[in-house]
Amino acid sequence: MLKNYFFIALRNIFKYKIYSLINIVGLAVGITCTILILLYVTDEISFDKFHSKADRIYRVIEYIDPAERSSSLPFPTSEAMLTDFPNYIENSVRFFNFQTSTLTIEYAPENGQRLLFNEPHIFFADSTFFKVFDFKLLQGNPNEVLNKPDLVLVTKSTAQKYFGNDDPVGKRIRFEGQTELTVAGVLEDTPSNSHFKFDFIISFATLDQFGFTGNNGGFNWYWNPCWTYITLKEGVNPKTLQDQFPDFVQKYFHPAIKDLTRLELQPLTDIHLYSNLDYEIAANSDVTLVYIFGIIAVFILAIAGINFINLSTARSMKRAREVGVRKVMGALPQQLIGQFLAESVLFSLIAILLAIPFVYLFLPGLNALAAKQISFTFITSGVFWAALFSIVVLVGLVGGIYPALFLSSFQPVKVLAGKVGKLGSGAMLRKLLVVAQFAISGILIIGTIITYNQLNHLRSANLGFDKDQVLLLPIQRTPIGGQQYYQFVDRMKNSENIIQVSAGNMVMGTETQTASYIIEGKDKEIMMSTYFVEPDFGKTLGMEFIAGRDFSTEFASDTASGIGGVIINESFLKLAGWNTDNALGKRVTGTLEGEMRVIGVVKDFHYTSLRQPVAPFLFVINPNSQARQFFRSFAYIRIKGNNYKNAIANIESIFKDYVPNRPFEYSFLDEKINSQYKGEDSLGKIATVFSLMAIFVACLGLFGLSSFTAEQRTKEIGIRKVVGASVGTIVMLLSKQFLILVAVANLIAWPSAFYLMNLWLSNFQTRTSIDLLPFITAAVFTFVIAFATMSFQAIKAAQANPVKSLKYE
Amino acid sequence: MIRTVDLVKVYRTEDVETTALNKVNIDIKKGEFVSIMGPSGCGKSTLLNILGLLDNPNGGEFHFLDHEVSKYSERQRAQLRKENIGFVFQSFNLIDELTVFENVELPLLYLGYSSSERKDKVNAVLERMEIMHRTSHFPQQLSGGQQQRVAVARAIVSNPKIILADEPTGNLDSERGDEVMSLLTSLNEQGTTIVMVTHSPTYAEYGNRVIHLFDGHVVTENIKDKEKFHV
Ligand SMILES: Nc1ncnc2c1ncn2[C@@H]1O[C@H](COP(=O)(O)OP(=O)(O)OP(=O)(O)O)[C@@H](O)[C@H]1O
Ligand SMILES: [Mg+2]
Repeated sequence: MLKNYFFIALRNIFKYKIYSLINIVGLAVGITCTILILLYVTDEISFDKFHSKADRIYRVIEYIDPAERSSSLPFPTSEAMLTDFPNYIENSVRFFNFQTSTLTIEYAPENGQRLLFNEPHIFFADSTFFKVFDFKLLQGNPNEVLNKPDLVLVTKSTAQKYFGNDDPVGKRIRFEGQTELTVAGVLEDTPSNSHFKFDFIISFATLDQFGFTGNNGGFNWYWNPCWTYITLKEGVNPKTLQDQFPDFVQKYFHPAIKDLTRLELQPLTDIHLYSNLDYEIAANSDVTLVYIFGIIAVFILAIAGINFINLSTARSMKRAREVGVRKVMGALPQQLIGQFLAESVLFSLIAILLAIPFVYLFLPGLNALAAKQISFTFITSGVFWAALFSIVVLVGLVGGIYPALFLSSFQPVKVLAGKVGKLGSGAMLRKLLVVAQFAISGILIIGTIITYNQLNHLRSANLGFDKDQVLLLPIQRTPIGGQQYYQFVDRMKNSENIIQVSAGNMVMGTETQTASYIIEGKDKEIMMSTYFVEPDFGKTLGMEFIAGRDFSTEFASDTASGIGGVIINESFLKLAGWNTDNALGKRVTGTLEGEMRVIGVVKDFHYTSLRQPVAPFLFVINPNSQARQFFRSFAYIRIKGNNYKNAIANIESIFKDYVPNRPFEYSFLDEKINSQYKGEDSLGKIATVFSLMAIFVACLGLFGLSSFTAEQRTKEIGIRKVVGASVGTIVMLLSKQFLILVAVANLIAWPSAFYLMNLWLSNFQTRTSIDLLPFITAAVFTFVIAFATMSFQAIKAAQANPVKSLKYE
Repeated sequence: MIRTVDLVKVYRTEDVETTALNKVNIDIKKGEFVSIMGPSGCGKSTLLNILGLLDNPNGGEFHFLDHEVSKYSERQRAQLRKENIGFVFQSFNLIDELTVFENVELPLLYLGYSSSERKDKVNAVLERMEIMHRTSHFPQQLSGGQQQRVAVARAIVSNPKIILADEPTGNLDSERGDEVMSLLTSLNEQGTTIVMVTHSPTYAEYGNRVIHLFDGHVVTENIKDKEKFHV
């Protein structure tokens, strides 16, 4: 019996080649998209789950109301927690990286090439690193490799980069030009689904010589640069531990913030998809993307499935006789249903076989778009095949069940007498499904366009400063950041192609730090966003002052110790209840900085991404010259319009004079700012690709359907031509009904897309307005492409010789 | 074997109601060869479909092999049908996507025969129909006469007690028509009951009696071998 089904299915596939091709290609494209999206989604939700204790590992995070949501903690927190909560916490590990984007590593063997790199993935970590996490140590004893100062672990590929095929263990490298580290072991490369990536892990004890781990002038419970992860003991409810944090905070934290601070436990496995805090180790992803892509996958699969349903029922005339004969021979309806379902499963099986090489072909593209490293090795995973098998069965059954029921319900008496209605049968359902397909396509088109609009909006929005043509030069812990800063600035300013120079501790427009301040007239500390900057910062960034002035070297008091100056933004002004006339000279007292006076007011600007609101903000020149040197992270250099190359060459030569033993490295401020929207960027690109795919598959279906209609109406067309109808009127006649469907589809797509996109845009503080254009574009696009698809068939039918088509009956 | 009492079949479409059969009483004994004649539209096919358990009547009684089947469900009819009835149609109704062998095999599949049994039976019947050399051809590669022989082979492969044929010669030239008629006659001689609709008086004469239908009524019954069947 099955053999009979199989052969008839196979012969049907070959006999109706166009039909089969449309179905199989459509399904294959649909399944390819679905598999790709599933791979993406699987990868996204797999983050950090490879640690055997993943369900017990939490990151402790710190909220300081109202301005700070920190992913990192003060240095002593980890130890204090272990002491105070021995019944709850099994282990803890801290990570620290000076909050710098890169750190310099030098390898200078006695008789060999000197290697010098700025390394972006260096962390200091506690020796409990291996007790909390499952990162694999390939060489070395996990209990010893981090337990002394000046030890370092390197990953396998890092070892390869520095030491080639030599044994890395025992090799000595120099960190930031000053500290000699000994390689104590080799780590496996960070898995791509870890929320942070490391190339070097340096023993935490090494930090003692930098003075960070000590009391820090009383600020060790204030400054919070350590990412801290804890493992809860088995069976501990995180809630019960978290409930004790308020007392803990009161007991230890700096008086200026302890009433504002709240600690929370964030599950390790939530970080990648749900966490968007300040000072994240690396930018995380967003669960909305997972949902959006999941929906798109379902959409595309639905469109492909609809093709299947539509074409099978449209073609049912051709199979009616077979059904009749089989029934006469005693076939029961369920046997026929079984047969047709088996057929549709066969279709989807063939489609899957085709989809696998497609996936192989397009996976690198997806990886590039989504910045992932999904490898084709998933093909060997049992889960993958189980999922694939489920798709085969699901698509086969869902797509096949309606046609199967429809076909098997034919009455032999009627079909054998040729009495099954010609156009009528199932036509309404087919129409509905075509509407659904084009509505989905319309939603995807509109969504894609609005995504791009939003992306452009984010990139071109007025940030309140000029982000273009500003070069960022990392200078932390270099002579430039230190004693020689002002000398460096003078040389730069005198150099060609350079307009302005300043420095700051944050990347403007992407990040902020917060500190506590008391405003004149108020009595309590308030947490506010601050940048530590240098003279001319506002000028360099083209900021607009609505009162007062920028920091300047011309005012010695700006950079002297003692009572310093502060520049505030409009929101600050409002919070303080001042105005532009009376603000200058008012007092602001910082917990770190001491007493300061307002010297300028700038218009509000976006110091972090456009997802975040603008709040009270202040620019400060750190009065402590020691701290000031530490916080000179980047030189901001505004360069002249059109000669980047020369300007950069100038900067490099000056930089080299001061810092000979660090690779010259720079970035552009606008690129840094734009890269914050790379999630939206890849969303836009991926959505474009999948929307096009969806439309392609929908058009395949329309192509098939219109060819059936044309075929069924051959006689009518013949008669019309004999009585004088032109090709044009016949094409219109055949296309009209479908165009009406596309119109209805657009009517459905417009409000749905409007609703969905509004929902998405509500994630942003700054959002593009939704105008008519995307909707009109979608309508025009669907009409044109649907019409083009159908007219191919219609013109063919209309041009056929009427004599021939009349004989056909 | 087959007995109807006041059999009624009415077709209802949106606006018209057609009474295709109006109180038809017939009685067919085992081993008979009955021809049904009548003008186009008088209800011959309708009657045959009901006799063949493809359709239910709207009224009257229908006794088939001692079962009162007029109210049977499709499932019950399918069971009786596949075990007892073979069909031959004017338009052959072979499945284009199946080979000759597979077409003939079809009834056996639904009867649940094993593959070796099916092979034996199909080969035997194809041999008898003299189309052995065409077993792996597809219907469209055969002539009309050959196709009808395949259809007959399919009708008899499961040894049905009764064969219903609706204008089996309608699409054939006279030579092929004669062939099919002699086939049916020989089947009847071997004990199979045959009910055949035909427009040809000559072919009708192959039967032992002819039932004339007109406008849904039985008008005359022309019985040849009254004594043989004790009507
Ligand atoms: N499915 C149906 N729906 C409505 N009316 C029908 C249907 N099938 C048959 N009829 C009507 O019932 C009557 C009998 O039809 P039937 O097919 O039995 O005639 P017939 O004697 O076989 O004719 P022919 O010799 O042309 O085959 C006709 O008037 C026909 O129009
Ligand atoms: Mg008829």
